[in-house]
Amino acid sequence: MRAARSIGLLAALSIWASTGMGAELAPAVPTFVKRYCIECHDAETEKGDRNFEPFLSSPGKVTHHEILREMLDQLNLGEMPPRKKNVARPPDSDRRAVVAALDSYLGAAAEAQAPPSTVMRRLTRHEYNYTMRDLLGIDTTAADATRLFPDDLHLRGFANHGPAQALSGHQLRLYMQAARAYLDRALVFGQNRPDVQRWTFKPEDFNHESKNVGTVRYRVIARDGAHLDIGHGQPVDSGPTYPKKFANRGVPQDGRYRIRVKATAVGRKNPYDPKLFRIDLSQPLQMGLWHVPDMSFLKKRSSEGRVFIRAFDLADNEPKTHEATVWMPAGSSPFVHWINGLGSSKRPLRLIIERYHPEAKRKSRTEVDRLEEAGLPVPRDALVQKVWISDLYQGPRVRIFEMTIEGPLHEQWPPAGHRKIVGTETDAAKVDLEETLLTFAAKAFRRPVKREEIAHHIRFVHDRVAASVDSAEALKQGLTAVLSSPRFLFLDEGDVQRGARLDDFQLATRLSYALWCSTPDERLQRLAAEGRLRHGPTLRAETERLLEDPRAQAFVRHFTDAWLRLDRIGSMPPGNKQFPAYYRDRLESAMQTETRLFVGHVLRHNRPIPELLTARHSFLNGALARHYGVPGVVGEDFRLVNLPGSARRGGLLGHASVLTATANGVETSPVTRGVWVLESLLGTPPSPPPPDVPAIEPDTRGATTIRDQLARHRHVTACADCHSKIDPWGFALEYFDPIGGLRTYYPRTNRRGKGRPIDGSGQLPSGEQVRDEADLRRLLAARKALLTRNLTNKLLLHATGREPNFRDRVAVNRIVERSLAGGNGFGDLLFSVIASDLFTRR
Amino acid sequence: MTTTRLNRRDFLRGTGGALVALPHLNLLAERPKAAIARAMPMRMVCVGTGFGFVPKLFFPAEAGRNYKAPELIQQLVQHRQRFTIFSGLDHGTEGVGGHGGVHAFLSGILSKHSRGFREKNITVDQKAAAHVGASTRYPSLQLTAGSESGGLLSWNAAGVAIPPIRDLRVLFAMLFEATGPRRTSVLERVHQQQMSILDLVQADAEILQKHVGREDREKLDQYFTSVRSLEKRLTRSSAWLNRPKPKVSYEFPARADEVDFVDRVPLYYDLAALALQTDSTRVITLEFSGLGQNSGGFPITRGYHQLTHHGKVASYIKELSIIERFHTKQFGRFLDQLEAVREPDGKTLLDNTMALLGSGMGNASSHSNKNLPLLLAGGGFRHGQHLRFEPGKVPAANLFVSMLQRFGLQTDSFNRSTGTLNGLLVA
Repeated sequence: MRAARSIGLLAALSIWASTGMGAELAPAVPTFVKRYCIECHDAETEKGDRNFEPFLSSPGKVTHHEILREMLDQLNLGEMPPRKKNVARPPDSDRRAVVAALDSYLGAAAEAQAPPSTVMRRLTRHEYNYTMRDLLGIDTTAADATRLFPDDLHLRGFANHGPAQALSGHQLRLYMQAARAYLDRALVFGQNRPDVQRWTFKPEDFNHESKNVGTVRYRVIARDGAHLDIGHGQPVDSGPTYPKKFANRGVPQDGRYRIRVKATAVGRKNPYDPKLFRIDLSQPLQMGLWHVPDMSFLKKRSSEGRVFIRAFDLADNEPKTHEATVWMPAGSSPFVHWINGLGSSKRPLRLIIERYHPEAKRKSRTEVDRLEEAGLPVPRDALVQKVWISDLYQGPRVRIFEMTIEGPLHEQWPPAGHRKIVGTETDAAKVDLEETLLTFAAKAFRRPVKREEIAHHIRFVHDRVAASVDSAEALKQGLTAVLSSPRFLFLDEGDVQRGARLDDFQLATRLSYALWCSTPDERLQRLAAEGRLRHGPTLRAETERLLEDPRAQAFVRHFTDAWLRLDRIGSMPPGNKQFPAYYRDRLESAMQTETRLFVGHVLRHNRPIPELLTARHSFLNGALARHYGVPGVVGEDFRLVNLPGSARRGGLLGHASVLTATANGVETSPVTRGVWVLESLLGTPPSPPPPDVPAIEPDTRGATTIRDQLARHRHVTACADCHSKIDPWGFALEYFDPIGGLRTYYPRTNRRGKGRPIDGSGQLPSGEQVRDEADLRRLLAARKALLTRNLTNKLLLHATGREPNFRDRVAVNRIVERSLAGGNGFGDLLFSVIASDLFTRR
Repeated sequence: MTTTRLNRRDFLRGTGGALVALPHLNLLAERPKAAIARAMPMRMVCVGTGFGFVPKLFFPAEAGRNYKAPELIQQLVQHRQRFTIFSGLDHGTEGVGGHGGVHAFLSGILSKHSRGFREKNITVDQKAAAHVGASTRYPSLQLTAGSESGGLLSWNAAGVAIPPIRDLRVLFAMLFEATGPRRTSVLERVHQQQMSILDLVQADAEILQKHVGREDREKLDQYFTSVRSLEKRLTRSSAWLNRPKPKVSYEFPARADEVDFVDRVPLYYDLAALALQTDSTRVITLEFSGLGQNSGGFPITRGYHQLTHHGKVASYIKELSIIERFHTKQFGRFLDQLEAVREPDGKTLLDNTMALLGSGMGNASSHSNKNLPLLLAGGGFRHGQHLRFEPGKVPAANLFVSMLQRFGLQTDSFNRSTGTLNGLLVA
């Protein structure tokens, strides 16, 4: 129905637009407003803060366009006039006629105003890093030189929106410093191919506690020195285990190193009461492997700046060699730890000694002193450690036998980055500086560059050389300038006054930043130079090629995060006490991975858009499966899993990422989640709350549920108008706690026992009844046209850095219509967006 | 150990006396006369100890102005009207973790949770330092008098702990000794390079300007503005390189870095006071953790850490209070120094300095990070009271908001604050 209607609208609008008729409002609109709206929206009642009287007194004024846009949205949604007793409802034909009239009027009006094209946008932080990676052939994940960049400002999660971005002198300086740091990494002037070295570390080479057992950290070396047992650990480890002497200096040079660790799990099955360990012993013990740029990051509490390589599932009592090859800057050293460990080993050890190994007990110095002070007898050997607990302990530990590091491994010399910039010459004095600058500038500025355009850069480098700065240094300074230039930092898309169509190079740039968040490769540049990229079949083929490239993961990741507002995860972190699993099992990154894999899957397989909500499968690893109550998934790796009905999952509404992003880490709110449904799924954001309305304070005594509080809210007329449109979308999601765990009862304030039962039922503004999340999923999936339109708009925002406006409605409608008429596939929709004028024009 | 120990009398001659007698005329000479009437800038000093203080020795039993000063407060009671004691403030769930929560003292955010915040777990001093910018030679100074495990008091906007200066010799050289020509020229070169690059990219921006659309000009204007502001900043920073450092008549003890903790601590305070007085910096953090060799020179029989886990054993608390009294007394001595300096605006240096003493540890014996010990002196606030807050209701970050505002920042929030601190008023 909805789809059909929007096609009708489209026809009406197309005629207006194509005939270019002036903006004139059909008299039917004020008539309609007088008949159906004014009773509530007059100067006196002013429901929802909307007063239509000024509009009625002068309907043609431009200042009323905003309010007309709202009317149109409300009529399109079918929410106004409200379904209430004593409120007259217009016949559907009238409503549709007014919708058509409003649509065409606003469209023509907007058209006449020539709304802006994409505003010049600056590379976001992630785009900058991906671009440097591709331009300089370097690894930017370790020793990220942009770590001090201020966070990007964004529009609803999209950081590449030109008007929202800001730039300061401070940031400009950071750009220069980052560019220089990355150039130093890429260029190897005057260096010979380094020899591959190999370091082997035995258990005694690692930092460890005495055999007597440290108090907080259990890190004990075997009596024969054959292995090192790590009995403490947590994801963000304050006691990492590393080769001690080696870490003082780290690896000698930047480069790729192969790290091998021979390890096993022991004691997963043990004679102790499992309740003594606050970990899940049904999952394999895991060894985390990290590296740090220098020693200082091995200190306690310096977790930021450590680089996580991966977690390995360890086999029980079966030593195996685990391997990873990573790029590390000079000075780095790796460390390992028990990443899903039991945190500090102090408490479990104390309890185990108490219950199972009393012979290993001894008194602490403080206890002895207290006895002495009280004049009580002190046993003579109170302070003597009679038995070593390490000889008795049978609890879970990670056992390390050996670590080797091998490198730097260079596939070629000079490395790829150096070749990209200057070719194979490593003697800077022999490099043609001018030619190098020219070639590099063309790549950096993403278009052909004439010599005179960068004459000042060339002159600068020559001047430096003339001032007896060595050639390598002079060139690096010149390249730093190119990489600090606005022609590099901003995506220049030309002047809309001189033609709406992007030129070939601008199109190549837009395409590569849309799908790779990075600079166009040589093939794209060549197609642009040959003028072929703009041709439909080529553009389609290139889009497919880009999507198949691993670099397209950047699109899935950053688009998904912005569209579903996963960027909010972590801004209000859940409490460690309330949700220990969130940290212990690294759920935060697991849940984001799930959603990115899922969205990527729907895209790659061109599945229909509603499947984003109705899919009965997802991607889980052991930790996330446990969080969801899905049996049979063990280990670190993600895999496609069919979800049992009992898990009450499936589709985005069941993703822990979405449910965490829409909660505040402590409790849930149907309002926040309702707003998320309206914004991120339906694309019909509610108007912001009127000023001076206090937020609902959660009831800390737990006497009332959030539903009761909201019900009171909705009885207040000022709130009711909006909240009856928001809250019902969120109620059904109350079955999920602030980190997306399933629940049927609210927690009590003291976190012990059950609170009140969850009631997820509600009535949508359209009148449909919802009992639970399954109903919600079904009803949302049925709103195909809205889902598709919203996704189209979000894709356009991501791909062009511009929010589609009223003028673009025709084109957006055309994309939506084609998608609905076809299979409604996500992949096809992306192709339509890229083939559209909205993408290929400024 | 004893061989390296300074003669206590020498030591006193070198510090306590010298500062008061210090002619700060050098400063006045450099400053044009017109500037004298100008309001002096606000300074901020945050002193943090790793193990906190025994609560009953720190917090008065009574709230308000007529409290009876407990043992530790008595050590600086001469300043009673110039400081406020706060109780009931902490960082809530952020900052919990025993020793692992202490580093959240000046931020209110645990480093492992910093990822979710725009400026990570930035500390209050670094917010203030960013505000100072290049107005002083050093935007801020981080000092530590502790043993190795320290260095976790100041955190930057990238969520990384700023390594503090431990070496007094280095600190003194940074403040008052001419920078070697080699180092100066390296820095100068970097500045020059950056200046030249700015010229180049400005030319690029002009090229770009010719063919972008109307709306894009605004963005380019932003770029031009950035270039200009960076130029200004570089010029100002470069100026510091050639400007001679202030001269002070301070006898710096020759073997300052080899002496025991008790003898070193006053020196950090001396240099901090001098740094503020000479406007070499306006923001200083000073961290005290382990005592190092020879029990720090204290007459104690147990380790500092072990003593903090006193389990209410009387002899432990007695020894512990020796260390803690030392800390409050030294802080009081620092306030003496600030109070003794008359600034060009007629106020004392203490009036123009917010000096915070506290810890991210609330009660070390039970590893509690609740109810942090906090004492703020100076800064032109209306002091002289014990402000008691209902436990768990008010984030300590609110105190930092008040401090930042007083420092001149236009802000109404800091990390997880909920507002400014009620009851702390400007005099």
